[in-house]
Amino acid sequence: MPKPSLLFLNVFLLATCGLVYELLAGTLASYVLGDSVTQFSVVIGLYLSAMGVGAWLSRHLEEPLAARFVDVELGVALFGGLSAPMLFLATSHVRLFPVLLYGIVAMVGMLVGLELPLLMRILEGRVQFKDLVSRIFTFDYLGSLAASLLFPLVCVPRLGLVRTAIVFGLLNAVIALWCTSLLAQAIPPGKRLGLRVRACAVLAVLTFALAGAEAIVKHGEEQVYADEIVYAQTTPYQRLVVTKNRAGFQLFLNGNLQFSSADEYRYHEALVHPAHALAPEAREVLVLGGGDGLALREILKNPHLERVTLVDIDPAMTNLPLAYPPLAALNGHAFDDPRVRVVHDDAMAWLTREGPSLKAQLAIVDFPDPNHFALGKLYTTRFYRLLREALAPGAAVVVQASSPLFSREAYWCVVRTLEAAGFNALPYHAHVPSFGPWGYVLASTAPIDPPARLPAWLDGKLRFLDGPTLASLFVVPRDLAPVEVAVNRLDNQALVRYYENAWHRWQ
Amino acid sequence: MTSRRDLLQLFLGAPLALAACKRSGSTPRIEGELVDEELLRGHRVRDEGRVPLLEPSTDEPLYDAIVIGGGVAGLAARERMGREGLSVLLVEADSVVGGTAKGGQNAGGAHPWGAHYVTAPLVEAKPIVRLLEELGVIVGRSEDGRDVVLAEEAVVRAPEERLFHLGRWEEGLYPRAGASAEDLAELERFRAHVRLLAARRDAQGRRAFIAPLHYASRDAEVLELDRVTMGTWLDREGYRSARLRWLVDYACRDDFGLRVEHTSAWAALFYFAARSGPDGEPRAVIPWPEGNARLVTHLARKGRGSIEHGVLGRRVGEVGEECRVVVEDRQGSRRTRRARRVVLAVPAYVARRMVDGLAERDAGFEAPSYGSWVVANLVVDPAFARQEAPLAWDNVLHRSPSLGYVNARHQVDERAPALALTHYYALCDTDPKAVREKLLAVDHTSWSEVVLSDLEAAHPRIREHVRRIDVLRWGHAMVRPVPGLRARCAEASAARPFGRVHVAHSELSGVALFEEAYVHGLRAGEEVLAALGRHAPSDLDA
Repeated sequence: MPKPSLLFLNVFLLATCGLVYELLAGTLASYVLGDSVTQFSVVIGLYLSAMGVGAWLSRHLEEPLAARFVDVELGVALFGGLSAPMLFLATSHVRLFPVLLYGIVAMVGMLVGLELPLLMRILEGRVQFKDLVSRIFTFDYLGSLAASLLFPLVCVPRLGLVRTAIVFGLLNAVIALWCTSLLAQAIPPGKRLGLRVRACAVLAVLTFALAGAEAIVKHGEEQVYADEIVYAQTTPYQRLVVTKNRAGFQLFLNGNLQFSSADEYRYHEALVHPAHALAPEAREVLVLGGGDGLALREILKNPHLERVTLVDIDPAMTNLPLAYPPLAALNGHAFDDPRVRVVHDDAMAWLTREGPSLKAQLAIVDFPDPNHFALGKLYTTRFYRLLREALAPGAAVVVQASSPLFSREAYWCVVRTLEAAGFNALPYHAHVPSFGPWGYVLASTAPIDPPARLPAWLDGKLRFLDGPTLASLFVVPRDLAPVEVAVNRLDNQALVRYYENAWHRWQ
Repeated sequence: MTSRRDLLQLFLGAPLALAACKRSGSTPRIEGELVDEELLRGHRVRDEGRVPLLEPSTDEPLYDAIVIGGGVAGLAARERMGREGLSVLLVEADSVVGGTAKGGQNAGGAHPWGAHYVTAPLVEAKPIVRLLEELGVIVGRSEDGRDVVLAEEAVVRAPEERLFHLGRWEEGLYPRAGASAEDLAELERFRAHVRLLAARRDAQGRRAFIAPLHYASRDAEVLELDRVTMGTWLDREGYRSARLRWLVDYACRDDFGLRVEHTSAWAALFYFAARSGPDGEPRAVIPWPEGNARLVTHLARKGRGSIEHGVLGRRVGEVGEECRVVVEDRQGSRRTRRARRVVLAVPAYVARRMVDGLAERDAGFEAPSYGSWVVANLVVDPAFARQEAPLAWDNVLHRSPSLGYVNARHQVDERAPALALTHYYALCDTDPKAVREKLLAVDHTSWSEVVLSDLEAAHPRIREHVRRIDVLRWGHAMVRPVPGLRARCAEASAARPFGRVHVAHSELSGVALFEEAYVHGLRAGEEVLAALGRHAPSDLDA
C-alpha cells in the first residue's frame, strides 16, 4: 500500500485543479456574457451541485476502485484542460457558448465530485476513519486556497486563461499517471497498461493543445488586451471591455481603446472646452455618443446649463458606470445629475425625429472612430445637415475626428464633410498620451475664429487646458496639414475607406 | 413528392444541389407561409371563361371612370383623373394595391414583394421627376440644369452591391477576382459602347435610351437591335469574356427574367444605357425599405375616389353611351358597375379575356410572354449581420441561378428586432410548360429549402439565424422583352383606346419598369379627360 501522505498531496493538487477550472469557467462566462456577479454565481452553483451529483453517483462505481479513480482523473484532465480553449474558440458563437459553458462546468463538476468519495473508499480501512476524514478535507480546502491565490496572481497574468487550463489539465493527467504506480497494488495487473496508455494519450492531447494555445489565443482577446480584463460584455451593438493596470483602467469598444482613466481628462477637456469658449452660456446642450459620461462631466461644469441630452445607442454603455463603479467615480456621477437626459437610440434616427425641436446651443459629437459603415454614416453630410436642424442659430459644435497623424485623410475628410454640410470648420488637436496627437473639429454655422480664452467659470476646474494651451491647440504642424480628400456621403462612405487604408498602413 | 436533391437540382442546378446535399440534411420546418392565393384565383377565372354581361341594379351609380387593376398604371390613371375632379372607382383583385410593386411587413419591418427601386430619372423624364420631387427624393437641379439633385438619404447607401465570387465577397457586381487584362479591357470596351449608346440623340435632342420610352427618339438603327438576341449581339461585336457575359446575363435575368441568349439586344442594352446619366456614368439607384410600394402608397394616397380590394374585373362591355363592368368579390358574387369610361390597367392576356373584340383588334400584336418569379422574404436574426462582412443593399451569388437578395433595412436608421432580406428568383425557362411545372413544385417547405441552400453557399450559418420565410409566386410577373417585342410596341397600336375602353400597362412599352407603367397610366387618364371634355395641360409635356 502507498504512503497515505503522498495520496494526501494528491488530494491537495486535485483540489487546486478543480477550483482552477471553476474559476476559469466563471471568468470566461463573465467576459463573454457580461454581468460577472450573475455569471460567477451561476457557475459556482452549477459546479457545486454537479459535484454533488458526482458524489451521489460514486456509490455506483465498483472495484477495482483505483482504476476507476485514474479514469476519473483522466476525464477531469481532459475536460478541465480543454475547457478554456474550447470556450475561447466558441466566444463568438452566441448560442453555442452558454451551452458549451454550462455543459463543461457540469461535466467537470461531476467528475471532481467523484474524486473524494472514491479516494475515501480506496483508503477505507487502511487509515483510521477520523484521520482519513480530517486529512482529506484539510488538504482539499488547502488546495482550494492555493488555487484561489494562484489563479489571479500567477496564472491569469503569466499564463492567460487558455494556457492555465491546459497546464492544470496536464497536472491532472500527470497525477493520474502517477497514481497508476502509487495505487499499483490496488489495480489489477491487466488494467495497468491500459490506464497508462490512456494517461499518455491525454497527456499527448493536452501537450498538443498547449502547442496550439498561441493560435487559439490569437483568435481570442487575450492578445488584444495588454492588461487584465476586469469587465466585459457583448451587446447587440458592440463588445465592451474594461481592462485595468497600475495606471488606471481602460475602456475598449470592439477592441478599440476609447479612453484610459490616466489621461482621458486631456481628451475630454480638449473635446468640450474649446466649444464652451465659443458658447460660454450654453443652456441647451446635445451630446451624441459619449455614453461613458466623461464629456458630460466637463459639460456639467457650466453654471448656465439647464439641460443636456445624451444620445447613445447602447444602454449597456450608459449603464457601465453602474456595472463598473470606478467609471462612475471618474465621470463624477454625471448620470445622477438632474440636468442630464439620456436617450438610447441611433443618433441618425433620433436627429431625424427629434432634432428640429431641440435648438441646442452646443453639440458635442463623440462617436467611436469610423471603422465600419454603421459608424461612418454618423460622419456624413446627411448627418451633419440633420445636426444643423437640431441647433440654435450660431450654436457651437465639436466633432471628435480621429488621429490627424495616423489617419490624416480621414481627419481632413471630417473637416471637409462638415464644410460641405454648411458649417464653418476649425480643425485643432491635442496630445493625449494614450492616442498620440488627437484631432477635433470645431464648427458653427456662424463665422468662427480660434477662441482666445476659456469661460471664467472654468477657472481652477481644469487639469490640462489654460489660456496659452487653448491657443496652441489650433496650431497645425506641417505633418498634420490638410490633404486633398472627398466629402463623406451616405452613398460613398469615403471616410470608412480612408480610415481603413490608414489603419492598414500603420499595422 | 420530389426528393430534396431533385428539388435543389431543379432550381439551383446540379453542382449547387450536390454541394448543398453534402453540407447538411434538411432542417425542421421554418415558420412562414405561401402568400399567393391570387395566383390560384387567377387560374380559376381563366378556366371559367367569359361571364355574362348582367344588367346593373337600378341604384348603381354612374362613375366617370372605373379603373380595373391597382398596379402602378391603374393608380396613376386614377390619380390623374381624380385630380381633375372626375369620379373614379378602382377595383383591385389583390388585398393590397401595387401589383408587382407591392410591399409587405414582417418582424424586420417593411419589405418589397417585387419591384424594389427606381433609377434616378433624367431631367427629360418630367412626370417621374415631379413625382420624386413630391416624395422629397429630388431636391433641386444641378447648376447647369442638366441633371437633378437627389437627397442624400434617398440614394442607396454604400456599400451598394456585392458579389459572392470564388469564395469571397467582392464589391460591385462584376466578377473581378482572377480577371485577366483582356477581361478588363473588354469590360471597358463594353462600358464605352454603352456610353456611346446613352449619348445617342436625334435631331430634336431626344435620347435613344431613356425611361420612360415616351421621351425616346424613334431611332431606326437602335430599333434594329431588337431583331437579335443579346447573346448574338455580344458575339457579333466580338465580346468573348465569360465574365462580361455573366454580368450581362445577370442584368437580363434580374430585369427581364430571361437569359442573355433569349433577351432582345435592344432590351439588354436599354438596361445599361437608360441607366447612364448625361456624364455617361451609371445613375444613382433609389431604393426604399418596402421597395416601389413607397411610390404605390404615395399614388394611392394622392389619388381620389374609392378603391375596392379583393375585387376582380370579369367583363367589360358597352351599352349605349356607357360602359358596364362586371366585378366579382372573393365570395364569387358578381355585380355590374356603370361608368362613362373604363381604364383597363391589366396585362393584355387578362384584358383580352374581359373585352369582346379586343383580341381581334390586336390580333397583329401577339400577346407577349411573361416571366415567372418566386420571391421569398426572410426574417433574420440581427446577429447574422454582426458575424458577416457588412451587408450591401444588393447581395448576389455568382454561381447561383437566383438573383441574390436585397437587405430591406439598408436605408433605415431606426432600430428593429430583426433584419428583412428579400430573395429573388426568376424562372428563366422559355418553355411555358416547364415554368408552370416548376411553379407548381413550389410550396412553403420546398422553397424555404431552396432559398436556404442557395444562401448557404455564402452564409454557411444562415439556418441558425433565419426565423421566418414567406414566399410569393408570381405566375405572370412581367413581360419578357424577346426580340421583336419592342418593335411591335413602338407601333403603339395596342395602346389605342378601344371604344370607351382605355388601356394602360407597362407591357405596352415592352419593358416592365415603373416609369413605363406610370406614364401609360397618365396617358390613359388624360385620354379619358379629353374624351369627357376636361381640358387640362398634359403631365407628359409640362
